Amino acid sequence: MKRRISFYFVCIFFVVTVFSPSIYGQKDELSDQIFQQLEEEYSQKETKTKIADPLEPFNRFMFKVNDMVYMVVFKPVSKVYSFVVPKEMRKCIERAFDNLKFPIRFVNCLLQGRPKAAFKESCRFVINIVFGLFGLFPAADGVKALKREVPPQDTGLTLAKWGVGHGFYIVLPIIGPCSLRDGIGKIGDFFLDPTTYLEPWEVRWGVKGEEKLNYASLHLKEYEDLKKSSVDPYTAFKDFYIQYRESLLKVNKNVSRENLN
Amino acid sequence: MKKIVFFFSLFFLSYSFAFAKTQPKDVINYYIDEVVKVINNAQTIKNREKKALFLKKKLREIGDKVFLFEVMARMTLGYKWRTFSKEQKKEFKELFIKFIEKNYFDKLLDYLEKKKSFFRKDIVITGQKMLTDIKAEVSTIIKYEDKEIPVKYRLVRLKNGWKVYDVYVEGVGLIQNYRKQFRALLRNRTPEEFLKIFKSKVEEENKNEKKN
Repeated sequence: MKRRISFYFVCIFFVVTVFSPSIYGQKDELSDQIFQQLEEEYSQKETKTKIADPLEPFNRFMFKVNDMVYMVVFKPVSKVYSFVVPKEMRKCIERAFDNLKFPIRFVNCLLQGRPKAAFKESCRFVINIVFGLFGLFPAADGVKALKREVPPQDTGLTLAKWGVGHGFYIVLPIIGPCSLRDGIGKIGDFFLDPTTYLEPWEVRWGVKGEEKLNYASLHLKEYEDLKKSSVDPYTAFKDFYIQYRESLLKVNKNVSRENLN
Repeated sequence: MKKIVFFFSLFFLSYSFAFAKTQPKDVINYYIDEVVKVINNAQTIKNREKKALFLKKKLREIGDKVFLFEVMARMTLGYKWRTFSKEQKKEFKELFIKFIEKNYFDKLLDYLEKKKSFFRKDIVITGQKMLTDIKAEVSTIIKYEDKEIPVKYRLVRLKNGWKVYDVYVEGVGLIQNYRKQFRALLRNRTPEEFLKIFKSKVEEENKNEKKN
């Protein structure tokens, strides 16, 4: 009898321990410890992705102006453009422009001391030109050995590598979210972009305009989606930009640490 | 009787071990499997409205199993959470879940309009990393058109298994993004005023849905 009782006791004990999380779990499982850990994670991350915004009133105004330009000018024009140029062709054009930006990536890889990545970029560029019909097709994506370890580099990322901080947040006309550092970086990128050296100026700006238009026709929807899914679009885009740039820098740092340059 | 109870306890014992052994990436794997299944089933439904209803119902079921919506809601408010009354907290949680569902759901429907078939092999789990003893990160890559989009899930271990509390798309964390937005809105507003704005945003979206 005694054994029997203890046997049942053991059984009940098992059942209770197994069941308890599901019976009382709803409140018990979300313990304060978990909330505390998560709260710490987010407050740490917040300090990492903090950016000063002394120009906020101007930035908010610029954000609205940009939004209006995108919706009133870019959207209808890119709709007509999309109607005339099929999507596949627009994607080809985007790839070709992207491939042409090779000097930005190449020079910045070198400036950051990444010879291996610079070499990869050169190979990608040549393969895309030769086998990808002047970059219209992503031929280099098919070569596994040429897979990028670091994201496509730009001057802003180089400045960051050199220890330059964001400075403050600024919304640029047409271009949109940016920081002081990345804005200066964009000037560097501008001079490294081959289309900047096209002559005469009508052709240069025509080509640059086509690039923007083509880009808008493919990505304006993403902008609208993000805007729609936010409660305060200005803050949403600001944080999106900073988090995104931070994530690129993190990849860069990890690669540097592992000596995969 | 003795035997029955014994087997019963054995069964539950093994059940609890099974849960304890589940890895964070198994949870994500299960989640992706289920979502792909539901989407492919939904694609056989011709009627757009019925399809949307079916998708919504099934995805909500899966979502409840995998995501910790309550924690997500609370984390988006940060220290401001304490300034909300009990009723306001409840209202906020409900609105937040509706809001997330709607955003996520709209994008999925758009995506399915464009892409007729959806393959399990387009989503690959690439790694798992323990962040602390109760937190982990699972990395996945979604192949979309000719791009690869990195999506990372952050999970926390509860007594009955791992659950997702945050999602990172291309390095951008969802919860932090909303946290910043809500903080900006709460900077010079009371919780009551904030809830009013948030509510009108969620309802405006629902109206659009009805119009469509």
